[in-house]
This record gives sequence, C-alpha cells and structure tokens, in this order.
Amino acid sequence: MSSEQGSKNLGSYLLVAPTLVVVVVFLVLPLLLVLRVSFLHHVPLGYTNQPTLENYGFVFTNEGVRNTLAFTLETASIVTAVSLLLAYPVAYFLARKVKSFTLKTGFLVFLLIPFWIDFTTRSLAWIPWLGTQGIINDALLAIGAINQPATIFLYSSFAMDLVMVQAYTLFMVAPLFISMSKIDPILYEAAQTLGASRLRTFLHINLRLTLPGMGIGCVFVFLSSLADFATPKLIGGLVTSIGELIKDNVTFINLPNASAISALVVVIALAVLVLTFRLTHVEQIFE
Amino acid sequence: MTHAVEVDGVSKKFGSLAAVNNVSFNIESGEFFCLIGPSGSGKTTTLRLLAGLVQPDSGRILIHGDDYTHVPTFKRPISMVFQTWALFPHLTVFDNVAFGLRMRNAPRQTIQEEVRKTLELVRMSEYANRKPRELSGGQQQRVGIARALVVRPDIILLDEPLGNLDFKLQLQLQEELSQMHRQLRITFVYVTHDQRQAMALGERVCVMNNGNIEQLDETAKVYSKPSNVFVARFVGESNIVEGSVKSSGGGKNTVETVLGSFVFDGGSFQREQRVWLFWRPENTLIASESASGDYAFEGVVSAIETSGQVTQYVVDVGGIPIRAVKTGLPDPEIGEKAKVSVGVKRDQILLLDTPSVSETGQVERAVLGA
Repeated sequence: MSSEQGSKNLGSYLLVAPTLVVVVVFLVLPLLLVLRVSFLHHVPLGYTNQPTLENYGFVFTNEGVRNTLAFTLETASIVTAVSLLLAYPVAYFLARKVKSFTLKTGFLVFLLIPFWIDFTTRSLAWIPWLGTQGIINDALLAIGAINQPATIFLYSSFAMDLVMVQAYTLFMVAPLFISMSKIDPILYEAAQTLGASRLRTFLHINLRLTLPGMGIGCVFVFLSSLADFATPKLIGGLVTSIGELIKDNVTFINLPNASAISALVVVIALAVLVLTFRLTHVEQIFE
Repeated sequence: MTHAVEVDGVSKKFGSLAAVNNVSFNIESGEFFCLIGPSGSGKTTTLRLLAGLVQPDSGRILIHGDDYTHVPTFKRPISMVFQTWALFPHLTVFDNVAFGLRMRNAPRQTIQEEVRKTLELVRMSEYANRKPRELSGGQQQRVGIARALVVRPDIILLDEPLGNLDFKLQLQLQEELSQMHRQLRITFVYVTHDQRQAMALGERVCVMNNGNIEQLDETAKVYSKPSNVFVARFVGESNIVEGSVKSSGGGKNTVETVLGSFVFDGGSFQREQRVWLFWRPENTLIASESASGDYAFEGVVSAIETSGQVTQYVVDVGGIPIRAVKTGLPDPEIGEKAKVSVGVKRDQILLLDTPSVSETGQVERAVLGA
C-alpha cells in the first residue's frame, strides 16, 4: 500500500472517530467490566478480586436462571416468528403491488405513526384495550361470547407477546420492504419462462432474494424482544424476563451473578446474530 | 404441417393505447423470425404475448396447432432471452443455466451433463462457478442464451438480446446466434429495433408500427421490395421522392415530381394520386458530371460519411436529399460542396402508393417528415 493510500484510509477512519470513542467508552469498556466481574468471587454486598468460575456454575445449574432464560428466548422466538409472518405480506404489498410512489411513501409514513409516541406509553396504551374492564372484554360480554371478563388478555405472556409484536413488527417490515424493492421484477418473468410456476417463482426468487432482509429483520426483532425489560413488567404480569432476573441480582447486590447472566445473554445474542446472518446470506446485501 | 406459432387476430390494449392491433401471422418451425419496428410499435408486446407474460384482449395464440392463449407462461414450450440478461444474481453461472432443468425436475445426472454441454456451446465452461456480477455484459448474455437453450424449447424468444452490448460484441454474438440456430434448428423469434441485426439474422422479417404489421416477408424482399414508405424508410437507407400521377393508362404511368417526370410500366393508378418513388442509395449512380442511368439530376454534395469500407454521399437536388453509396474511401473528385450529377436506372425505382398500414394522417407526416 502506498503512503498516499495509507493517509486516505486514516482520513476515513477520522470520520468515524467520534462514534468510535463513544462506542469504546460507553459500550466496549462497560462490557469488559461486566465480563471481568462475572469471574470474581461474590461476598455479601460486593465481590473480592479473587478469580472464580462459581458464578457460571450457578448460572448453568440454577433452575430459575435456566427457566427464565428459556422463557425469554421462547418469547423472542414467538415474537420474531409472528412479526415475520405479519410483515412479509405487508412488505410484499408495499414493494410489489403499490405502484404509485406517493402511495408507497404514504403507506410507509402511516406505518411510522405509532413511533411518534414513546415506546412505554405505547405499551401502556394497550391496557384500556386488554384489561378486565377493557374494550375487548366489554365487547365480548356485550355480544354474549363470554359470561365474565377474561383475564388472559392482560398481565399474561399472551399480552406480552402481542404488545411486543406490535412494537417490533416495523423493524421487520423495513428491511423486508427494502430487499423486496431491490429485486428486478424481470427475474420473476425469467423464472416463469424457464418453467417455474407461481409458487416456485415465489420460493426460488422472491423468498430467496429477500432472505437477507428477513435475516436483518429477524435479528432486529429477536434482539429487541430479548432485551425488552419494560413490556414484561408492564403487560406481562407475573412473568419474569431475563432482564428482570439480572436486575434482581443487581438489587441484591450480587454483581458477579448479574454479570455472568449478562455475559451469557450477550454470547447468546451474538450467536443468534452470526448464525442468522450466515443462514440468510446477509453478505449478499453488499453485492 | 402445422405452424410453430400461429397468431390469430390478437389485440392488446394498454389503457387506451392499442399496443397490438388485430395482428395475425404464422411462424414456421425452425425458422429465424425477426420482429422489428420502432419503439412503441408493438414488437415487444407481441413477443411477450407469445411468452404468456401478457394476456391478449382478443384473438388466439396457437403453438404447434394447440391453443395456448390462456396457458400460463411456465407451461409453454418456450424460453426467453432478455435485453437486460435477467440472470439470477444469487446463483452461479452453472445454477442459472440449471434453473430451467431443475424446474422440470430433471435428474441430477442429466442436469450436470446438459449444463456442461450448453456452457460449452456458448463458450462459458470456465466460468461455471462465477456469479453473474463477476461477468462482463457479453458473458452475462452468453449465460442468458445458454439458460434459454438448455431446456430445449420448441421456440426461443429473444427480446433485444444484443441491445445492451457494444457494437463489436453485437457482431460477434450475432454470428454465434446464427451458428447456434443453424446447428440446433429451434424456432427463433427475435425482437430488435435494429434493422441491421434483422437483416443479418432473420430468414423472415415482420415490420411492425403502431401495433400493426407493415410488412411480413423474406428478409431480402423486405429490403428490396418494401410494401410502403414506412418500411422503405425503416429498413435500411433510402431515397424517397414524393410525386403525383399525371397520367395512367395503356400500361404506362407518368409521375410528376420536383425532380421532373418519371415514366413507369405496369400498374394502374388514379390521376393525381399521391405516390412515392423509392430506390436504395447503392443504386444511385454518382459522378462529377453527367451520371449514367435513365434519369440524372444535377446537385451539390451536402454531406459525406465514410466507414472506410463504404462511403455515403448526400446530394442536395433542388432541396431533396439524394443518397448515394459507393464502396471504398471518398472519391477525391467528389468533395463537399462539389457540383455532381446523380442518376438512377428506371428498373431500380419502386413506385410506392401507401405511406404506411397505420394510415392516420399523423403517422404519414411523421414518416415523411423524417
């Protein structure tokens, strides 16, 4: 590499330098700190500098941790799957069926309207709908479908899944819409002239070429659900999320345990991210 | 013997625009059939109708005698080559070519064998594992052609396949397509706006304009005996002189033009009927003085254009541009602004009596104003 090229590269690194400083100071360093603490010996109200694996021993053997983690992963999976099923037709409609540019923009703005309200408020807005004296129960009682208010609609894992799906589906629609818009429609015609039925054209061309968009959307939704602390607390009732569990450990000043659980969650998140990106050929976005 | 394709009174409107207007023609088995015309003439729509990518408003499309009008694209015995290649970006060259065979559920062994043979035919064997984006335009179109050939269609539809390639590459692929056709004897239906490609490739040419067929004939005939002014102008270079019939009768017609009067044998015309004299530039005789030919006119050279191989002179004769083509470099005796004489033999002149099939006044003016 010539020195001129070298200085050019340096120049482009300077562009990201401010962001890089923020990321290192507020993300990388704290994560390293968490990682360090996860290997330290817990004592009441604190920890010593004595290295140990006992926190991970606890994390891997404790049934409460395992169940909570499984529940949170299950929730994230359900929310991701439902979001994908809901978002795909929406993205397909927007990208392929709506021809007018104005109408397309209009629909996208429409999808963004809920985001003008903050996330927690949006979750709370579900309560008047789902509660025992909520609109849904009132309606069902009025038409005689039920005799007494159903409690399943609020403070349940169903309610939590529902609210999360509503909150995160747009993160699925956006990348799907973009990857679907990028497909040259002539490819569908090419497939058909080569003997592909509508279904096979959809599978081999549409579905295949939107895989990267699906991958990014799934990762967005999955990780957002995994990290969601407020929704389980506000809407989920008695459920315990992994975030809640970490918070409890912090409250009881067991930072080594909290750190070990956190580290495990970070590793799982990274694994999901890498695996999903691999499986869905996300690298093809850059081609 | 049934025709490979029978288009029977097919019409297609897009909104209020008649893209294809009650068109009927046949394509014979194994022939190289060219559809040409300016953009918006309906040639691409006609091809897409054959492919089933567009549904006709009325009329029938028969393939080998069977009605395919409402059969979906994927069940038709056709395949298609696109102007923009339309290769699947996520598949390798091999998988692109294999796509059609896989859709036909061909066994693995067959796919391997057929794809290998076809890639050899288009000389792309060594690129089998590349992705389309790693190929040049010419290479991508070779893959496009291979992908359409490998499924052994009865009819291969080509939509301006060389339109996005540079001239040298066009000539080369043109030659290769011609060879493949001779070798495989599949029916080729080839759409182009470039009449030179049609001349080089087509056994028969169908000239379209405004959704109508202006002429359908053997390639040489379309060139030498255009049926109207539109075809004469669209296919190749031409000299066209408007005139009107002064007298007709006894097998002799006299046509009055700004270049003087011309006498023709045969045919019968009405007095004052508008007609057009037509001849090809290569039939114009040009000399620095008194050119030979049955008719000769004095004029001034207004433009000279040469490819080295041939030279075209445009001679202004009383406001009418007359084109003459001679082989070789420009004649040093005939420079720009030089006074020259141009001539033409009587039997090289064709008398045309219609401007075009689409006989609206605008079209006429558009054609003649060109």
